[in-house]
Amino acid sequence: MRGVINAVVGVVTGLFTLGEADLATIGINMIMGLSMFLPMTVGQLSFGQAGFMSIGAHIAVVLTLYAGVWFPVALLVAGVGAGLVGFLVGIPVLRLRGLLLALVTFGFAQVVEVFFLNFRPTGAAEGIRGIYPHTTLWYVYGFLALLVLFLARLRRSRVGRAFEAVKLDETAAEAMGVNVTGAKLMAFATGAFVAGVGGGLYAHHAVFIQYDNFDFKRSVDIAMYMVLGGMDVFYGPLLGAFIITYLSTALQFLADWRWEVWGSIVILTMIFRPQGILGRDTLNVRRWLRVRHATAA
Amino acid sequence: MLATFIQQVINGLMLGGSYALVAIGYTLIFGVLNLLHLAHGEVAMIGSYIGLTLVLTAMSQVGVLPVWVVLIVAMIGAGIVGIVVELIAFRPLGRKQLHITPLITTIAVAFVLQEAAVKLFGSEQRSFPVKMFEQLEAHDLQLGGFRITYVQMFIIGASLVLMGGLYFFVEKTQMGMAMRACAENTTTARLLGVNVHWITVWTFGIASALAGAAGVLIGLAYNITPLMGVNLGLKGLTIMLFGGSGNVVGAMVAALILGMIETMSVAYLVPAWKDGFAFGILILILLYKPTGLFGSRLQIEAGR
Repeated sequence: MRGVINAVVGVVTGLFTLGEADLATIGINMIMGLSMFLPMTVGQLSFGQAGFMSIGAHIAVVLTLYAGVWFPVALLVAGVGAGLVGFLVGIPVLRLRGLLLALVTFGFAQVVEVFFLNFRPTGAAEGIRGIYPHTTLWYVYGFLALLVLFLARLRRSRVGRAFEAVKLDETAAEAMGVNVTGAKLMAFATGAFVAGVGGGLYAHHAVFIQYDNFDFKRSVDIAMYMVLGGMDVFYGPLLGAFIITYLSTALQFLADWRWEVWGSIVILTMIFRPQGILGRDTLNVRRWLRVRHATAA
Repeated sequence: MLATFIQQVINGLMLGGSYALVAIGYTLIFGVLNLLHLAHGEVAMIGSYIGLTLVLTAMSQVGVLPVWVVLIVAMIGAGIVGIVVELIAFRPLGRKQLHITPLITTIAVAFVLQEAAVKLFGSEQRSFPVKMFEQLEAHDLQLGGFRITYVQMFIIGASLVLMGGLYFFVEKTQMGMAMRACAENTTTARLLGVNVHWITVWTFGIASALAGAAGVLIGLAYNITPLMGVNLGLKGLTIMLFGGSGNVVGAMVAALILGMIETMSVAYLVPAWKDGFAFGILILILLYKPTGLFGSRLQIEAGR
């Protein structure tokens, strides 16, 4: 019992002693979670965000390291490059739905991994070393803030409503005059753009990248952020990324058992909250007030 | 030249046969439950460790065991592991879940199994003891210029027998018929008196036993690591889609084709791009023939 209390206290106090490196990792993972959330706003399950992340990371590193480009510009180009690939990949791929789309995007990420494993100019299997540690918390959380602002505005905008309609019922959306293919492509490419910028930030934080930094485990992690945190609202992936990234360090004290504990947490969350921890109504203050009102009366 | 080519064909058959056993399990579970079981490769990995442990313990106690005993024990062990996975990661989710939920829970199970294997057996590469192979060498076949080892014959033979047995089971027995009914339509099957829960458990058991057999066969031909399940699982998935999801015979044929392509591309093309080939094929199939080469029994495109 004492051990359990100590463990809980350790996990809670750990929150206040997070270092700069931890915070940067958490922020980057939040960005990656949102990159997967964007295709989800039109109901598309993209399981290969690590592929776009890899492309963005490699573009950004080549620009800053070999061409001496200013870091923010390199990030922007990395994002645009990954977004462009996302757009081109999206054209054939987005005809598929559900599990099949998840599998194709997953396969795409594998192909990107094999590509960078064999691509000589970026060091092939050895990867790239000696990257300048340009990434600061300002860059990470600045971009994250922009992204959150964008997503918060998106929900109430014309485009956001169109996305929502496509997610709920494609045929009905089409009948209402929504350009379904366009909406899907836009969401998918924007997600790829965000993943590319996230990759650039990651590379200049880790200062060393290799093809297998962006393997299927990375894709799975990114998917976990969204699925665990909640895939209906944009703050879901933020919470998911925070919990998973934080727990992976905070659970160190469990040593040998931390994967078993982590696995149980994931499975239990899926059993009791299949839509993720945060749903559409979880943080709805008005609903809470109404519930309290009803019980008072 | 011809001798090496025939050797490559045998290698391809070995690889294809083992892949087929994994892919059939995938396709059975997918067919009956319309779910992707992403820890299936890890179940195969556990199967090969069960086989290895059995061989090593028996060697210190009684002596070298016949290979088929190892195979059967590993199958039973893996079958039990598979049923446990079903009870932990599928059953509690209920029927109302999104298609991504079981994906996530089985990935969690896969990571836990990998870590368990590292903890129990160490992370280094293992292989079946040389002593075992020395005893089997007496049965090697010498045909003209090249030789077929007993192990190679055993791998090809065992996978063919298991595939045949499974085909018979699914097509000719009553439980196989119940499984096909569940694959067609679960609600109707239940109305007709099929115990769907029971069939689900059996499907997992049989699919996992086949995966365990594949694990042992791969372990005999190559080696055993805690991460071997990742590759096996991905290959199994590719083959399932290649052959048409839910189509058992399609999976068998597709596995032999993919095993052949893989060995030939290693032997005659660029080995480093091997996995690139496999996934390139996967993407092309999904895009242009989502039902696979031999037709799918199911509608998976209409994701819930």
